[in-house]
Amino acid sequence: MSDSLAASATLSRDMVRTTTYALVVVAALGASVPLWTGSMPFLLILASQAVIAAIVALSLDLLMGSTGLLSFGHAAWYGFGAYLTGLAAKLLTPEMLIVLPLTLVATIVLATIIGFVLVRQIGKTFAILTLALGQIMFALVFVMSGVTGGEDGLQGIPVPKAFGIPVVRPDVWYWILYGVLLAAILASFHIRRSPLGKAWLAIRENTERARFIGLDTGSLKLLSYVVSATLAALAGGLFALFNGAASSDLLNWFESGKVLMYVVLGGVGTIIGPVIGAAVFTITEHYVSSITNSWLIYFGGFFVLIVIVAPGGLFGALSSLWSRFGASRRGAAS
Amino acid sequence: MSGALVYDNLCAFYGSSQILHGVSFEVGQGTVACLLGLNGMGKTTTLRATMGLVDRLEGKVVLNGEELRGPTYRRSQMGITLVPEDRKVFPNLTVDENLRVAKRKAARGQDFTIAEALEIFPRLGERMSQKAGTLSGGEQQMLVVARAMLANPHYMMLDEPTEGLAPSYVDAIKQSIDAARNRGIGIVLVEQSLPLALAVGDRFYVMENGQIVQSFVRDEVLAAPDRLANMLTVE
Repeated sequence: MSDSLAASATLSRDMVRTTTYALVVVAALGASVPLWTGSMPFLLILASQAVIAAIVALSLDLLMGSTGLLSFGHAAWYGFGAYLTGLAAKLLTPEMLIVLPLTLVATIVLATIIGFVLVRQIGKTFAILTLALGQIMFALVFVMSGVTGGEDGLQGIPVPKAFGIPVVRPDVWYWILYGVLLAAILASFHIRRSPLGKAWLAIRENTERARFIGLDTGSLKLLSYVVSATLAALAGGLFALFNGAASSDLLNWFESGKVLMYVVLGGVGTIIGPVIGAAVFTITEHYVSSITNSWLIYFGGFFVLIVIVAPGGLFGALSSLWSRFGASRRGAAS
Repeated sequence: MSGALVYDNLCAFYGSSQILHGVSFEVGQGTVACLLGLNGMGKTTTLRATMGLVDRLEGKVVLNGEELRGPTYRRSQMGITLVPEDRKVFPNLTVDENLRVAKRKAARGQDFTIAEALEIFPRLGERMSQKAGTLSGGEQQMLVVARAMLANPHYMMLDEPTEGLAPSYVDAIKQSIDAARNRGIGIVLVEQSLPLALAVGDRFYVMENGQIVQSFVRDEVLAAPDRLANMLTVE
């Protein structure tokens, strides 16, 4: 290897190390939010909402970014998780270590049945069917208003407990949510690097060729759908317990559109990108909507701009800047 | 023939059009059968029908005594794989990922490893961390052949693997066919390039209008190569 190549390889390793350190610092900063928002509890609640949005964005990215299935109705699972967890907490027990696993098991069963039909459809058909599923779930809230609370939403969800201890303090809530987000991110990276993750990507790239090398594309797509739905339901369950309520808005197509925007804004298939997209969207939405009622117009414009200027989303743009920085360092070194 | 790939009176249809009219031939383990013929005679359809990629089939294809049935992935898991002529890689996966995703344990005998694939195609070894979509056409063809071999099939079907390739890439493809044959993998080769077919083929089947109209063993062809060449020339 020539000297310049050796230097370049060393710098590349430096870049990887620097990137890893940067991500650890960002993760630590995220964990420290409750320490510096003590006098502004609203900020902590807003940050908690952003973390829940990030989990649901990550769930959609597990589907879109891996097997390439585009869902217009992902909020169906988010809302399903919220209502089921809320009802279980009201009717059975407020212990979140019981109600959340219950929700996950129910979601796995239902998503497997529904997904079995959905993943056999491709492209636009799949997308339209997911939209229809979302609207059916939305309608069910009103059809079953005796159970769900209908237009008023599900109210009176009791204060949840963890190991029998009531979870009330906002900082504890934040750390629980943040812990779930970090675990979901790490699990996503692990899956992405595993043979399963590679098989999912192969299906996204070319389903027919994936079959030629013996991949059971139907079962693999179903698995990605179920995993994605389950994580979305977990986010919904956490939302219901955190807010003490669930409303039909959680299931509406508008909510599905927002989740899709988190992912596209952040960068499809990048894992970290949708987390960034959800955080930026949630926090900006709060501040812009408090200034003007026309916030959706500004958001729409910003979304169009990002899609045109940075097709890889915010994460893609940041990665590109980071690579250029690395290249300029290599240039300076040589 | 034990362990053979047997085509028994195979008829294939796209919609109401019948493309194959009773194709019958056999390929043994570790042998190369070349399907030859002018364009549109049913060679590619024979391969696609083997993988269940036509609208309707009559007759059967038997592999190791078991009829090939079911969806494409199941046929692949039974031990047959197809390298289509459009040489599509998984473009946004790296070369390394393309190879790893295809790696499957051999049902019998020794596994074909990534290291062995890179011995045959050293060029791929230099590109392992590169996105497969950025490879040249020849490199992509090497990658799809290597990917097929890593699935450790009993039989491999190659559809025009050297079409449009530079001579150095054609040599690499020939080497891969030899390596597969040495491991006992049977090969069905559809090839326009007669020199390659003559270099690797054990049996030669000439197709016309969805049927096999002539078959030759290697010695017959080598004794009178013009006879086969004439059959493949448009008058």
